[in-house]
Amino acid sequence: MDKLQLQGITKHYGRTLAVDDVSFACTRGEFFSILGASGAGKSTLLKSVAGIVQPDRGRVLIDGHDVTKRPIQDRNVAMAFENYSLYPQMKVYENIAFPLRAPTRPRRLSPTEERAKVTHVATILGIEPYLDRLPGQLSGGQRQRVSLARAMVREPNVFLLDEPLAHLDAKLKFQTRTRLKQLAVEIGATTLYVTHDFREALSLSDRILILRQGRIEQIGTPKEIYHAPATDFVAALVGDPPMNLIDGRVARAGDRLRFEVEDAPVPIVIDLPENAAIDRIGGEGTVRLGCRPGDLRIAPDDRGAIRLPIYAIEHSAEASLLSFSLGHDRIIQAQVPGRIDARAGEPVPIGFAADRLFLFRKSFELGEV
Amino acid sequence: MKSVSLHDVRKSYGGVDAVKGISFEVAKGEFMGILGPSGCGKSSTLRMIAGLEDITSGELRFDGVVVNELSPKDRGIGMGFENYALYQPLTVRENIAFPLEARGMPRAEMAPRVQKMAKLMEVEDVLDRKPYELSGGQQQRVSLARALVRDPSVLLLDEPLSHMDRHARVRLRARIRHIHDAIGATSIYVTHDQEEAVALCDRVAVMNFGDLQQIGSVEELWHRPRNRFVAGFLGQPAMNFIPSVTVDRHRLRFEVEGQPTIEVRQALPEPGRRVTFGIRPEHVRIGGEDASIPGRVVLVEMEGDVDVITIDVGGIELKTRTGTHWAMASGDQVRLAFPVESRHVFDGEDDAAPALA
Repeated sequence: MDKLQLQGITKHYGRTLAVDDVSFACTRGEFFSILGASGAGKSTLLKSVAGIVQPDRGRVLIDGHDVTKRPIQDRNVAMAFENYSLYPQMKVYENIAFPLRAPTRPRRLSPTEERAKVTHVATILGIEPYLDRLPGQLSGGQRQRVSLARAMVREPNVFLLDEPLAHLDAKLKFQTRTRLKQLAVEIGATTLYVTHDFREALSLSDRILILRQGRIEQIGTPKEIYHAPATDFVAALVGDPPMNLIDGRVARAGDRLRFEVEDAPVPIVIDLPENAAIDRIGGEGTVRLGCRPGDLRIAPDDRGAIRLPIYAIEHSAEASLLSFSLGHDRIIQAQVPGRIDARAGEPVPIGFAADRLFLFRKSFELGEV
Repeated sequence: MKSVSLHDVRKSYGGVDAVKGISFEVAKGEFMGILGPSGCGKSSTLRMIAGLEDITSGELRFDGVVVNELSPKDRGIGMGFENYALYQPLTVRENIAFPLEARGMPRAEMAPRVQKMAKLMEVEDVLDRKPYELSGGQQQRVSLARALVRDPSVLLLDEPLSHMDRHARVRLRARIRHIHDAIGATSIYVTHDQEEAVALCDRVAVMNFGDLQQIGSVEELWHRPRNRFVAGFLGQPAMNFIPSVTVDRHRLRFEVEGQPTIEVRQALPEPGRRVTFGIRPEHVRIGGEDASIPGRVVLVEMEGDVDVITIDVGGIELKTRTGTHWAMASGDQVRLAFPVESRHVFDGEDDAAPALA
């Protein structure tokens, strides 16, 4: 049976529609992420499960029971927020132990049992040395992990995590992410996780829901989201460096399908594979072509390679990133392994891997950079 | 554009050194990064170069001429900030022309310079619009045009990309590099983002606790970090560190369960000394003929085209970063190889521990 179900959740704030008819279900033990930009309605969904927000329409079911009208304390969900809301007068230990002492708990733990649980969670999250300190004596990142520990210590029905890594610096974020995942696997908890960071969503989740302006854009496993993005929106959101998106036209030339970019500095014509799913995007005409930077090749012997001057070249330790200008305000990028021996301004042949191209219907304007 | 050099430049606030006497030179036309965690002194350094902060001691020179006492205006600095601070009531054209107008340049002389800058930044067709009508990326470009229009001595960039969305950020980064190359600028770029610094800059100065930790090309910093801090600061996930003890001149023992020993090219100090072994996640190989270090897969995290795999080796966790072609699952027993040319050894156990050659 599904552990958690949301059925047709809709919520307005005043006249603003925050969440529009969202339905999904999480199985027991699933790590399920909601990925989207700020204002997409992610937190509203999470808060409807917690009972902090009452949806206008729709139902929330936990273990098959409708909890939509139940108060927060009767849902046995645990929530950790981006802002940590710790009790400032209590030591870290007391803060983490607090949910274990709630009168609604079926059985009071012995002090030894309690200490064992608190210490275990604190150790995994790397805050064990601070158990005797007050929250005010900790850094923002440490407080955030205390808040996370408090949510995770009580082994609730469902974990609700709202950007729990947001305040951590890059290094700590990486470490804590791994530990969070270990903890969730170990406890076998059903987790609903809200984030705007695609890396967190890919690395942590069993499945991901992409939310766009209150609506579901796609639900899938990390592999599906990354390798088969349903829309240009998903494609732009997931991947680093971000996917190249090029607007142009698809036309038939004899028995071939070709993609042509209009008003480019040089003619850009890309042969598409016969099985290109152009029907899915409404047949021939204006389309948006997607190609990940890692799938562009700098290949002199490629048939149909396009020659463009290098607009800029950037090196990382293990790869080079080449940028090309396709005319006004359009930059595409190719990532190649190793350190490429080329200079800015030099024309190079660029090959598009036909089997790694995506075709989308254009659903938003690309921001000019 | 000019060269910039710092000679034992120090900044103290009430007796506390924010910048502890650092020296480096940025050649004319070079793209230099200053990288470090917050509070490392990188912004103070930039502000001293700009003239926004007094220099407590030491010398700052442009093309060899000491400029310590020159006001910001007289140093001829072009600044690109995170918030682009355009004048909202003025048009794009007026914004770009502003620094020229402030110097009383005749209109006839101004127009072609504004036009040239607008063309380079690809904002010619929005010259008569107001800043609020532009996208974030366009505003950023206008701000750069304004910084560069009067041919400054040096272009200073302080985290100019940190508020941009991801899709725009990587492309704007390419634009900044393109502009730098196109005008032959001397650029100094301050950031806490190691990926950004590595991508953009010819050389990077890594700072921590107000001190210069290392200055060098990305390749030098990556392959020959001078100490444990630099080794750990560049790279995501960070370099794996394994506490170790030296056995003899070229062998050390990992202080983990099973205590495997490993040979290194570096000349090690006397036996029994506590050192740190380092290996980057990109260089840890799973399987293969020479794979000898036993481990157990703890976690596989997908990041797109790469997987980050956490592996327990005798009680400590190492990370590898590999292509997604490995079908690995938690609990799998594996053997690891550390290519000999990618093995690092640091003489000690803290951030300051120097690398052994």
